[in-house]
Amino acid sequence: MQAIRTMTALAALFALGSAAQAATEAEGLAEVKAFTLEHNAALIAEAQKMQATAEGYAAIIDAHGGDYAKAWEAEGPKLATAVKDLRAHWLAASNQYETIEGIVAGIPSTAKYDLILDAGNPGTEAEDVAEYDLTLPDGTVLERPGSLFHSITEPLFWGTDEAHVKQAADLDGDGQTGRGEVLFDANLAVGAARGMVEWATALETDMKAWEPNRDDAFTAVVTMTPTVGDYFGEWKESQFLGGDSAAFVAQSRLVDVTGIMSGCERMYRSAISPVVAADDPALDSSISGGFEELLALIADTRGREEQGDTFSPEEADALGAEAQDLAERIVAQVLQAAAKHGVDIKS
Amino acid sequence: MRLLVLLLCLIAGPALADTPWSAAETLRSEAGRIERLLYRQTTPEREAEIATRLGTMRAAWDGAAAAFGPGDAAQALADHAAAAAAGDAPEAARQRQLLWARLMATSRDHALAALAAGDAAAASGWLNIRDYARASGDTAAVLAVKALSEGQLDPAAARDAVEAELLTVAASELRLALTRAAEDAAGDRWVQYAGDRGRIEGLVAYLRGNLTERLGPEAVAAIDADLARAADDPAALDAVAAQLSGYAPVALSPEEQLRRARLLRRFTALVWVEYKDGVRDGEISQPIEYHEARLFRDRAALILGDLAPGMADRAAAERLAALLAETKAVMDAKADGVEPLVNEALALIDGAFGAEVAAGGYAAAVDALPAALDELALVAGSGDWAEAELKRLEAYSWFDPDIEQRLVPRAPSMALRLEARFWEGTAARPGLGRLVADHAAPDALAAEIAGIKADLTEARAKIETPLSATGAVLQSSAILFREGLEAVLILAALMAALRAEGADPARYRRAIGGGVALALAASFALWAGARWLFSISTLAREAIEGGTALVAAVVLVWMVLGLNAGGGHVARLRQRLAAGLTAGTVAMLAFLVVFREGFETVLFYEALLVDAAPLPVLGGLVLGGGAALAAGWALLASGRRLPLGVFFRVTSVLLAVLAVMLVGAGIRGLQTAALISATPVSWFPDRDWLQLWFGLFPVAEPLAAQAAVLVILILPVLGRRLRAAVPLRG
Repeated sequence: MQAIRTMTALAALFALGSAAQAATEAEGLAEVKAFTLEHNAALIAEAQKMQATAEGYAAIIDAHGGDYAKAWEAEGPKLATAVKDLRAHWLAASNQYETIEGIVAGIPSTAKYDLILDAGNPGTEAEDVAEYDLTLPDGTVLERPGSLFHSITEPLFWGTDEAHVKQAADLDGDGQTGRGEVLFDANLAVGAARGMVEWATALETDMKAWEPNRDDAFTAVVTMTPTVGDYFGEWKESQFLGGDSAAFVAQSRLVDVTGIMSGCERMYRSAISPVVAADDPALDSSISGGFEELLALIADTRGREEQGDTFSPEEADALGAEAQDLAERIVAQVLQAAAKHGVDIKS
Repeated sequence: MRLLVLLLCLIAGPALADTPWSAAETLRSEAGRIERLLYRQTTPEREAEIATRLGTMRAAWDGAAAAFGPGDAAQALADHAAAAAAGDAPEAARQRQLLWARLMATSRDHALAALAAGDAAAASGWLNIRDYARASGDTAAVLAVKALSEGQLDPAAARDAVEAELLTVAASELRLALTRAAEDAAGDRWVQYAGDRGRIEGLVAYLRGNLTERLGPEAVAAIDADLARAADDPAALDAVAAQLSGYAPVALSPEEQLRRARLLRRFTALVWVEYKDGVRDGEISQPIEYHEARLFRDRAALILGDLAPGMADRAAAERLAALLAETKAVMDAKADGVEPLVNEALALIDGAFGAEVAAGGYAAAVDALPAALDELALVAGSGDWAEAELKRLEAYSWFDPDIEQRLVPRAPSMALRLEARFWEGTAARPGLGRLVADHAAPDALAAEIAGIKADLTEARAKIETPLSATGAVLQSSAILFREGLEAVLILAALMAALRAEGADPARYRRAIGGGVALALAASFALWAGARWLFSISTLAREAIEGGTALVAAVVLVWMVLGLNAGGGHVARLRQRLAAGLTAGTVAMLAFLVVFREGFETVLFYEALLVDAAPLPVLGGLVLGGGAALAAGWALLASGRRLPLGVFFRVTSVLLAVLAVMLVGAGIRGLQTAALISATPVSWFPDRDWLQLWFGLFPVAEPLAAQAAVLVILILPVLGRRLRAAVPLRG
C-alpha cells in the first residue's frame, strides 16, 4: 500500500517537474507531440515483433500443409512458444498504444486511428466503425472487421474467437487444455499483425504532420477525459470482477484507463495549463488537482487489483461513480477555460 | 503525498490569500479519499491514514476559516471528522457532501457580494468553490465575470448572470442526487445512498432561499420533513422529488431553452444509438456502448429537469419524464423496447419545442459543420469517396441555410466565398466538391477543410458580434436594395421600353402589381410551408432559385429580342400589346423576377430578426425598398427627358445586361444544386462585386451561357446594321 502511495507521489512530482519544463503553450504542444511520436515508434517496433512471430507461427503450420493437428504433434513446443510470444508482444504493443490513446483519439486528424487500432467497431455496428479493410495473406479481404487490438488480435491470440480456433492445444504443458489453450488461424494472425504495423506506421505519418494547436489540445481533453466512466463500467463487467457479461479482456481495463487518463493529463499539463494559468491560476490549479486525484484513484484501484484485493459490488460501483464525477468536473472546468479563451471545441 | 499538498498550499498560499479555494479543494479531495478508504477492511494502516488525512483537512480549514467567515461549515467538518474517525462509512459519506455544499453556499455568498461591488477578481476566486453544469456545459457565469473585468458588463448584470447559473446547476444536481439515491437504495448500496442523502440535504440548504420564494415555506418544510424520514425510508425521497417536479430556480431565456432542447434531443437520440450496439439478446455485448447509453439517458433526464418547469405542455413534460424513466428500467433489465420509447420521446420533444430543435438552426450548425468536415476527411482517408461526397453535402447543408442566412446580411461577400469553397472553389484553389470528385491527396483535402474552418471562425465572429440599431437598419436596407433592385430595374426598364413603343404603361400596372403580389405571397407561403409543413432541402432551394432565374431570363430575352427586332415576332408582339394580350406575360415576368429572390429574402430577414429588434429591421426594409423603387422611378422618369431613340437604346441595353445577369445567377443556382457541373477558370477576374451585383462568376458554364445570351441579343442588331449597310455599298 505504501508503495502505491509513494508511486503516486513520485508521479505527481514528475508531473510538476515536467510542467516546469513546458513553460509556454507552444513548448507544451511540441512536448506532447514528441511524447506521442516516441511511443508511436515503440508501438511500431512491438507490432513488427508481433508480425515476425506471427509469420514464424504461420511458417510452422505451412510446413505441415496447413494441418494444425500435425503441426502441433510435430512441433508443439515451438508453436506454444510462438503463441506465448505473440501474447507478450500484443501486451507490449497495447500498452504502448494505451499510453498515447488519449492524445491520438482526442485529436480530430488522428482520431480515425484510434478506431482502427483500438476502439472501433466492425462494420456490422451502427457507429464508431473502424473504416478500413484488412487483406489477409491468402488474398481474403475482411471488410471493416473492427479494431485490430480488441476486435481481432485479442480474441484471436487468447482463443476466445471460436470461429478462428483451429486446434485445442496444451500450451502450458500441464496435461490439460484449459480456457484459451488453442492454436488459432495463422492466416488471420499474420494479416492482422501486418495490419497493425501498417496502421501504426500511418498513424506515425499523420502524427508527424499534425500541427499542434490550442483547439485540438482542448478538444482532446474534453473528448477523452469522460471516457473514464466507460472503462470503469467495462472493468466492473470484466472477468476481474466476475461481471455478468463475461467480457473478455487480456488485461485489466484499468491499464487502458491509466494510459488514456495519463495522456489527457499530459495534454492538459503541457499544452493547456500554460493558457489557463496565465489568467486564472486558481482554475488551473483546480484542474491539475482534479487530474491528480483521478489518476491517484485509478492507480490505487489498479494497485489493489494487482495485489489480489477483492472489491465488493458497492465499492466497485462507488469507485466508478467517483471517477466519473471527477472526470466530469475536470471537463466542466476545462470548458470554462475554453469559453474564456474563445476556444473552439470540436464535437 | 500529503507533504506535497501542504507544500503546494505553502507555495500558493501567499499569492492566493484572498480566496481560500485551495483549502476548499483540499477538503473536498481528502474527504473523498477518506470515503474510499472506509470501504476497505479495518486495519491499523487504514485507521492511521484516515487520521492523517483528517489532520490535513483540519489544517486546511484552520488556515481558511477566517476567510470563509461565520457559517455552518465548521460544524459539518467536525461531524465528518467524528464519523470518519469512528469508521461510520455512511455517516462520513453524508457529512462529506454536507461539508462541500456548505462551503459552496458560503463561497457563493462571497462571490455574489464581490460581483455586486464590481470586484471581478475576488468573485473569480470564490467561484472556484462550486459545482459545474455537467450536461448542459453552461459557461455564462465565467463569461459574465470576464465581461465585468473588461468593463463590458455592469456589476448588477454580472451578479444576476452568475447567480442564475449557480442556482440552475444546483437545482440540476439536486435532481441528479435524487435519482442516484433511488438507484442506490434499490441496489442496496447504502454508503452511496447516505452520500446521496447528504448531497440532497446540502443542496436543499443551498437553494433554501430560492425554494422558499418559488415553492413557498410550507413546501420547503414538507421537503425537510421528508428528508428526515429518508434516513430510514428511501421512499420518502419520492415525495421530495414530487415537490420539486415543477421547480425551476430561474426562468430560462428563449435562447437557453432552445439550446437545452437541442441537447435533450441529441442525448435522447444517442440513447438508442449506443444501446443497440451495447446489448444483444439480453446480454451486454459491448460494455462501453451500454455504459454510454445509460450516461446519455441520465444526461437527457438532467436536461429535461431544467426544461420541464418551463414547458407549457405539462402533459408532454410528464410523459417525457415517464418515457425516460421507462427507458432506464428497460436498459437496466438489458431488455428490448428502447427504440420505440426513444422514438416517442423524440416526437414529443419535436412537438413541444418546435421544428427548430430537430432542424438544427445556427447553434447546431456551428457545432455540426466542423464535425461533418472531420468525418469527410476520415472517410476520404479510408478511400470511401462516395461517402465523402455525402459528407460534403451534409456539411454544406449545415452551412446553407443555417449559417449563410445569418452571414449574408452582415458579410455577403464572405458568404459567397465560403459557399464556393464547398463546391468547385477557384482555379487556383479547388473547393471541396472538386477535391472529392478528383479523389484529391489527403494533404490538399485537409488544407481546404482547415481553410473552411478558419473562414467559419471568422464568419462566426462577424455573426456573433452584437448588432446595434444603426447596423440593423443598414443591413436590413442593404438586403432589400440588393435583392430587390434587379426586379425593380427589369420591370421599370420594361415599362419604359413599352411606353417608348407607344403603349400605355397604365395597362400593365395591374399585371405587374398582380405578379409581384403573387410572388410575395408565394415566397411567404413557401417559407411557411418549409417551416411547418414539409422540409425543403438546401439543394432543392437552390434548384428552385436557379430554375426560376433561367425561366425569367428566357422570358426577358424573348421580350428584349421582340422590342429590338425590326420585324418578325416584334410585329406580332406589338399587335399583342395593342390587343392587351401581353398583360399575362408581363405579370409572369414580374412574378418570376420577384419570386426568384423572394423566398431567400424572407429567410435573410428571418435570420436578421434573430440578432436585431424588429423596429430597426422594419426601418431598413422601408429604406431599402424605397431606394430600389427610387431607382426604378428615376429610370422611368428619365424616359420623359431623353430623346426617344436614345432612351429606347439605353433601356434595351439595360434589359440585356439584366438578362445576362439572370442567366449567370440561374446557371450558378443549378450548379449549387449539383444539377450541372462547375469548372472554375483562371482567366476571368474573381471579384466579389462582379459576382454579387452582376452575376459574373469565374466559372466556365455560367460564363458560356452568358456569352451565348449576349450573342443571341447582339446578333439581330448586327444583322440589321449589316442589312442596312449592304444597299449603301451596293
